[in-house]
Amino acid sequence: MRVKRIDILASKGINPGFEVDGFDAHLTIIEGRNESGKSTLAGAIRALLWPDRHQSLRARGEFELDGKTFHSFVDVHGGSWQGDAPALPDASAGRGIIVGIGDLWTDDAHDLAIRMAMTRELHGGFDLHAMHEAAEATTPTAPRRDAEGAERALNAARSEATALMAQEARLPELRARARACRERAAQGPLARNALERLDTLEGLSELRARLERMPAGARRVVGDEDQRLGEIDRRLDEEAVAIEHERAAAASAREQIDQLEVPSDGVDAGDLEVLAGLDSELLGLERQRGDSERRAAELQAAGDAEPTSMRALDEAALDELEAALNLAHETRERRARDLAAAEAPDDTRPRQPSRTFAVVTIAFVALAGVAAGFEEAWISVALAAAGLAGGIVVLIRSQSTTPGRSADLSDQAARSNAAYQAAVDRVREIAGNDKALVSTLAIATAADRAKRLDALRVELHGALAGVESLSAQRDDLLRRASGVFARYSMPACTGTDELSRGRTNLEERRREYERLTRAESEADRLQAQAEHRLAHARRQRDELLERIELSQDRLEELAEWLRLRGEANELADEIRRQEAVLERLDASLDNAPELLEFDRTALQDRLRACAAATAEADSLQRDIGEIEGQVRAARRRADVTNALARLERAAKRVAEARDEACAKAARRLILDHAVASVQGDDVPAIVQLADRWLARFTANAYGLRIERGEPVVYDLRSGVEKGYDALSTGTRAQALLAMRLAGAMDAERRVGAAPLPLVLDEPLATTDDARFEAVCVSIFELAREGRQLVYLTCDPGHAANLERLSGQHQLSCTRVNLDEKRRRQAAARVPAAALLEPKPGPSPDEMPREAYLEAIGVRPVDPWRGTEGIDLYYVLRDDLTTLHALREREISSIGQVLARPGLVDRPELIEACRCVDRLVRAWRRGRARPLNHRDILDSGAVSATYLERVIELAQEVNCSAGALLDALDRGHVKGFRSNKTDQLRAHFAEQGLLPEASVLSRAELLAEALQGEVIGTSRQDGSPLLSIAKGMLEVLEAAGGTGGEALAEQRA
Amino acid sequence: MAEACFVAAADLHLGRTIASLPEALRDRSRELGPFGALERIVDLAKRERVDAVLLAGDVVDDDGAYFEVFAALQDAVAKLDGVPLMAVAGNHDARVLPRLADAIDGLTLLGPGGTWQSHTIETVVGGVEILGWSFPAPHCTASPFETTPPPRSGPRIGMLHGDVDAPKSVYAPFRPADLREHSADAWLLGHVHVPSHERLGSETPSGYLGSACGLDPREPGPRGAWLLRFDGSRATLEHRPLAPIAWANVLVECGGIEPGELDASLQREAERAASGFPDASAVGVRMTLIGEHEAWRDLHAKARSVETLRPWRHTGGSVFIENLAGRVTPPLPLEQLAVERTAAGRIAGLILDLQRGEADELVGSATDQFAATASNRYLRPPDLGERVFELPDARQTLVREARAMLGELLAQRGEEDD
Repeated sequence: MRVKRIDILASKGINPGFEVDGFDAHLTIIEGRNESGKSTLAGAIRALLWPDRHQSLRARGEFELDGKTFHSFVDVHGGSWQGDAPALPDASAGRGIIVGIGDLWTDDAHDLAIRMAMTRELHGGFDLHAMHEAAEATTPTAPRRDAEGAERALNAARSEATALMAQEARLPELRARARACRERAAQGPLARNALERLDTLEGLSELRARLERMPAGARRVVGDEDQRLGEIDRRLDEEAVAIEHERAAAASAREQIDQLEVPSDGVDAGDLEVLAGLDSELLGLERQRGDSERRAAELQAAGDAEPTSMRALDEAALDELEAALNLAHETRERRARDLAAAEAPDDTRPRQPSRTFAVVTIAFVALAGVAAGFEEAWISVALAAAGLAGGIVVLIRSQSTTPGRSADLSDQAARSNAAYQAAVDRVREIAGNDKALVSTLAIATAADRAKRLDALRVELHGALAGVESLSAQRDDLLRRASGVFARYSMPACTGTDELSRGRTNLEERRREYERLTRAESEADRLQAQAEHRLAHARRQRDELLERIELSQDRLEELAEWLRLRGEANELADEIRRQEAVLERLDASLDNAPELLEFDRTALQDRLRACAAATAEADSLQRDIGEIEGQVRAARRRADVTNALARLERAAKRVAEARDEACAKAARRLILDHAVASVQGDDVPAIVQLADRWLARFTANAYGLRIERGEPVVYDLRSGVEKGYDALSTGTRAQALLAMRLAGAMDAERRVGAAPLPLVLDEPLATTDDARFEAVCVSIFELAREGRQLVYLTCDPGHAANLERLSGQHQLSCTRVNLDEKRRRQAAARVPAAALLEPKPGPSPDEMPREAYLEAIGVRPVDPWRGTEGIDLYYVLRDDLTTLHALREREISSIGQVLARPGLVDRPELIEACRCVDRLVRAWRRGRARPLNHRDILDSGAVSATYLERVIELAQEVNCSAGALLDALDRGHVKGFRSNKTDQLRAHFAEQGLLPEASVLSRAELLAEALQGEVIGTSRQDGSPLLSIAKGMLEVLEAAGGTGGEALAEQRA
Repeated sequence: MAEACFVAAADLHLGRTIASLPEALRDRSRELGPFGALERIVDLAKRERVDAVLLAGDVVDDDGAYFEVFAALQDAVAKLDGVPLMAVAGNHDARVLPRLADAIDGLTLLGPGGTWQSHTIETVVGGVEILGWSFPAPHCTASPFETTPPPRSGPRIGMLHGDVDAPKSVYAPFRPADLREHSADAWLLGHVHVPSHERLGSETPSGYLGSACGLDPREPGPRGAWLLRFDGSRATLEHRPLAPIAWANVLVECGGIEPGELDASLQREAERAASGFPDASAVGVRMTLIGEHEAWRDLHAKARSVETLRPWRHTGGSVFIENLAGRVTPPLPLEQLAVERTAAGRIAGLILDLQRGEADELVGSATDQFAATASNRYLRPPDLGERVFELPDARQTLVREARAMLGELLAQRGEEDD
């Protein structure tokens, strides 16, 4: 496979339209200054050999294999071979044939992969790496620690049990001691009894002596004698008073009886009965007499009420008057009748019966009025009935009368009238001019009244006679009563009142007499009773005194007796009690008679000894109880058993860990055996290739061999193995180049691919001249074997040296000056836009803004990678149409615009790009780019032991070199030495990671971006340029904090 | 025919619990452990109306368990109701058993302090002398027969705890010849937990009674007590595997087992193993999958998902898988592989060498490595007395691991082929 032509249509940092052709079939030396595109070219070759989507490269390649040309193309949308693809090993082989100086700086993942491939090949295609890792010796400490804890727990349980066993072993002794103490202490009560006996004896003696000193009477009295005597005496006094009182009462009654002036046998009840009869009779007489007198008075009054003329009439006159009246009456009626008949027509002439009826009625009324004067109603009724009957008779008679003649009638009327007048005159004559008598009615009643007046007179006389009779009877009665009164020395009575008063008096005297008599008797009875009680009390008193043997003349001793009685009784009781106590104590000491001989001091000593024994026994018993309790608890618990089980489980886990470790050891032995048994001819070709190349690259100074299943560099002269860290930078680069080359060739071999071009991007920059020549001579062999060599260098000396060597080894060589070639191409490419083929892509008119931005894949800003790659979007974010138009022409970055301003005919866009470029450069001032793992690795200050931790720390400090150094200075990575920190600091400073300039403020940045123009005066805040600058500044601020993530990605 | 009858047991190790019990059975640890075994021994003695119960040492596991054992032994004596309970002290209970014998009426210690002592028991065949010797201390390098037992005067049953044929043992070493010299109608030995039926060269039953209860999975097989019958002239021993828990080690040949059937197969195998212990309340089965199988990785993956230490009920008892180890390998054409000049070939060759008893150098290295590993303080199991966790056998381990590694390597090839 041979590279013929590479067209880089677009690439970050490279002007579009860069093409390299004219590659030599053997050796092509491409020289150029830094940033002339050498590495881009090398990368493009690799990308075009294994074409795939490439984010920042659009390129075409032309290759030749076995006379056949192959074309490949890569861009952001993908990559592919045009037509048939050549047979190539996988893309990893590209890391072996296209090697840059950075690839050889230190061994990276690809080198590790090569070594693993070597190892795998060594073992016949088997990967023992995982087995090695799995068999690595590990020492888990947890099981053993658990076991030690279990041992401690078991020992503690055993110790506790042992201690308790020791305690339990003491139990018989303790029990014996306690028993002995109890036995000794058992003497205590006896000694106490003996002591108490002594006390009792002494107490008894004293009590008895005291009792002896007491009066005998004090023990005879029961205590209430004084009260009882007092009670008896009080009763005696009371009874004496009562006797006197009753006696006085009787005397008083008798005196009052005497004062009553009644016979000794009192008031006779017969007398009182007589008097009562008389009194009653007299009262009747008096009432009758009163009635008679009242009747007489009434009669008198009735008589007095009659008219004077009436009263003057005698009986004859009255009869005459009566007759006259009757006549007058008759005539008058007749006259009236006749007059009426004479005056009235015949047919209308009133009938006689009316007048008759009137007369009858008047008569009836008159009779009724007379009757009304009588007391008896029946009389009036009879009279009225009679009158009424008469009237009716008259009426009936008159009805039958036949009417007369007028003349006759007038005559008759005149006569009647004359008769009537005559009759009236007669009445007037008799009665005087008394009108009352002459009235028609009076005339009618006068007779009755006269009769009644007469009857009244008769009755009055009778009444008066009765009064006189009754007065006589009364006087008789009064006399009889006075006779009775006289017998009781009472004055005679003259009337009913006196009789009544006398009788009442006598009754009162009788009642008083009887009361007094009863009172006297009661007083006598009570007196007798009091005297009886008095005698009884006297007997009681005598008996009491006799019982306590107290004579009457020594009564004053009783109080003393009584005062001492309680004490004496107490003494007596106490003596009895003490005697009982003594008896009990004597009985209790039957078994210790010797104690009876002890005096008080000896007994107290014995008692103290017993108390001490008791206390000791109690203490021992407590100890015994406590131990027994602990023993019981221990028998219930299973401390030792559980601890044993725990220990056994822990031991089992330790044994399992040990067996696991043994198994791993066995695996390691097996692996070692498998590796060690590799024979020389077993060494795989890849290792042999690498060994051969390394030996040749290093002029037979170093070789590669298999140790412990791993390819290791060793010194061919001493045979000593050299770690990669121990190799010099140049030797390490040569070793890595040898292995990469071997890996690539092995990959080619495995797929049967033709030799791929070997592209070396200054891999020998750290190689001395001798090794340089050795390497060159070695790779010339490859060229001669048909492998195209492309060597890129910025060092003209290297290029010349290589060209010289190729000449010496008769190897064709083409030398390309990349700078010159690019200059020529730039000048020839007019217009440059023509190089750019419009490439349709998504349009902002067809989709939402976000979708469009996502579709075109706006690259994030990385301020540390220069301004060239900054997407134009950040300048044209408000003009997506222009952005789209430019992107269609493959113009998508600020760098493209600035490199070829003629591409865009938009001065304001160019100015905006320059503004952003200035802003980014100014923003970087004073700021260090975020650390990457390469910064740390390349420093050589961080060994593998600390690498992980240091990278983690760098992430924690947001990949700030200064902050990382500060953190290391503060000891955040334990064990990381200060001299290593200094080494790291020096490396960071060398890499510009520790800027000394100060960071510009926002205003300063904007001023710098806008070329010092004062914001807000010459330019308005709303100007598009300022808006773009501000927007970019925000993007930069945001991008400045992503270092940690970047490092994390790199680390991953 | 009239016979005297005795129950004999050894190595009860009262006070120890079964450490490998599943969590679900922990609350039954007393019932399933030595205490349960003692109760079963007493029940057997009552049932068989024995003349005495004889315990040949290590009745108690630890001096510290004195209190915990006290009540159990006292209860046993009470239940025996006059049947003599005689014991000799072993290395584990050299100190504690005499003390217990002192404290518990009815428990007789024979030969305290490293002396020979006999006690005659009247039986239907006349007096039978029970001869015993007890450890004077936990370690005793001198043979018990350095002091001569009292001369035999009639039927005699000897009880002894110690190491036979291990002259350097610190556990009362003695020779089989000692037993022959001092004849007895039976020698009942304690100390070795594996019951031995050999007669130690004697005409009379002589051997280790074995542990009365398997204390962990390393004591598999039937464990229990022995019925010793003596007709006046000849003694016979009959094993009664009355241990409440039994352990079984089962190698499961996976040749014909599909991964999906593994669960059922394991359960079937475990239950088959458990059926050999009808008297056990629980059976723990330690299983190892062996053999060759194409789907060996699936089998191992399946085995890893099997829940061990989960008891299930089977024929009235509990069965559980104590441990399950996967040792299945793919079909390994070792001879064919061994000719390959690859790592697999070299390992296959190594396996063949190891299996042929060669590769002694490697085995020696492994032995040294194992010893070095065992000397690591973090990998050194704590001292459990004579219960040592033996180092794995170097050759077996090498073969096992080499086969496993070979399987893994071939798996890589299989992946590449895929």
